[in-house]
Amino acid sequence: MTGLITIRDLLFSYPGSPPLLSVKELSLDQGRIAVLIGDNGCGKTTLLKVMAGLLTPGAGTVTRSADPLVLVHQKPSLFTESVGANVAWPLKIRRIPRREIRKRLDAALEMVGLEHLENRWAPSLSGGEKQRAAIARALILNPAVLLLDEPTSNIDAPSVETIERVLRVLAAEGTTVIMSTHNLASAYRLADRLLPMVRGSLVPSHENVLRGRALDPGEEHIGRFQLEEGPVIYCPAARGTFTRAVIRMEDIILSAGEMVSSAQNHLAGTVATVLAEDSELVRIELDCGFPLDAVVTHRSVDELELKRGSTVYATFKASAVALY
Amino acid sequence: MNREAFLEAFRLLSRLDRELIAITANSMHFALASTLIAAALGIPLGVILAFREFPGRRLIVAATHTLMGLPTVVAGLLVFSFLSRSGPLGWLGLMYTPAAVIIGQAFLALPIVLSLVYSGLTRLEPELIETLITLGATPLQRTLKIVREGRIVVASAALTAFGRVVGEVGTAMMLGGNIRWYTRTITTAIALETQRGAFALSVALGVVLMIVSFGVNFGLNYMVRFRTAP
Repeated sequence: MTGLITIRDLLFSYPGSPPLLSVKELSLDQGRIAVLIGDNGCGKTTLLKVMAGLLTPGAGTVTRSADPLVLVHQKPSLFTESVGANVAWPLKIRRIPRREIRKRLDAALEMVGLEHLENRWAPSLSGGEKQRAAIARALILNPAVLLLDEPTSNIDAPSVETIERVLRVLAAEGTTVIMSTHNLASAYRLADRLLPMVRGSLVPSHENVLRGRALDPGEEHIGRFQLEEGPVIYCPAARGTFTRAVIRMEDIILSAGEMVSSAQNHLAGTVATVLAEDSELVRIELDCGFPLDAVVTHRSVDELELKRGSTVYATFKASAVALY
Repeated sequence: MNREAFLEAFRLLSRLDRELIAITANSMHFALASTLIAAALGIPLGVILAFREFPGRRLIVAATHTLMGLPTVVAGLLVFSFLSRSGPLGWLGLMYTPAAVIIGQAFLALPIVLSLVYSGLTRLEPELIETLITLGATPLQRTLKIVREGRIVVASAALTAFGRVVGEVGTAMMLGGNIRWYTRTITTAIALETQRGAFALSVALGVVLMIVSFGVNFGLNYMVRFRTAP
């Protein structure tokens, strides 16, 4: 499947500055949520702007087979007029008939939960409401691709929840969502695909993000997490609604036979892929009834004679599992 | 100048003397018309200057800033050399007409409008223009939206220009010639009538001009406060 947005050998820099972005290959599929994570200044915003066509790369290609494609900035940049006028504006400039604008405006405002604020003066909204209004102004166009720069930063918790729900609904309806965030919890909850960035480049994610739900620990000191497509794993006891279990790939120990250890989680699996990441590390993709990745050294690969089809045991502590 | 002149001045003001009104109307007419011309040219040029990259842009910005301080008599001289009988546009017969004054004052107002619109719009959020692009606006729709978003900036630029031309005397004198009932303005009347001993009219006109200037400054202050309000 070819992606809606495909990037190849992209280089970007501002005149007279060192390269800011260098992306070898990235292809994004329809109806999925991809989340860019990384430190300040690692190039997330620049990459989003390149994808949106607002910045022209110095080298490489960006292919977009989607229209419309809208970017919502971190700063919502609402116009100094009413919320309704803001959200309806993209349709108004396209000379859409008034009755249809009315219909789509109502739907967009309702989706982000701002229907009661349609006549409010946009500059008087709270930060979270502004961000929701900016998202409504973008989604009223029924975008094929929605790019969002830090949509959940520095806003109130209910607004974060609303925005996450809206993005999930949009993705389920076929919109491709690409967003950047600092908020790791939000990233884990939303992402179909995590895209970590370091100094302008995409790097492989070193975290397993597993879907499922945490079971009520009751009086136990250890918690359990029911994987969506697999067994129950042990995790720290926590009360509340958690839908993601995150395990760092470095925290998974691979062994040829079953280990006797203090770690609670022992899973048998088959090696699906062996992938050299650099001169030091190798990524092992396991099939344990569900996909689970581990990162080991080349030396371990040789010692365990890991290759496609080998049977191995994956061991990790309950405390290595983080719930989101 | 004596007490009698002041009393006469207030008598002129209080009974809305016909000549006083005519002179004030001329001043307003010339200043408004020249500000409108300057705004019609300066606002779109200011938008282009603020958001388009093109060679020579820096130079134009610098030149515009410099021209804000153009001495009024130099502007008058420039327009004079074009409009006088022997000048290239002499055949139009515009010298010593209201049109000549309006042209001269538009020359003074244009750099002010252009410069203030430019610097005001460049201070708008940089995300605004990108937002307009990503929402699919055409260049014309973007320009109109930017001017709308910067309406306070644009209005205060026009008001500043109006304040400058309504109080200037150089071009109005050189190009209008202070012709009674025709091109005589508040400033030319004060400058020339005072010398002829007509103190009362001068004082009355001075009061009117001060009220106009205060009004303009009050308006500007109000707008600045509105702009910086949260």
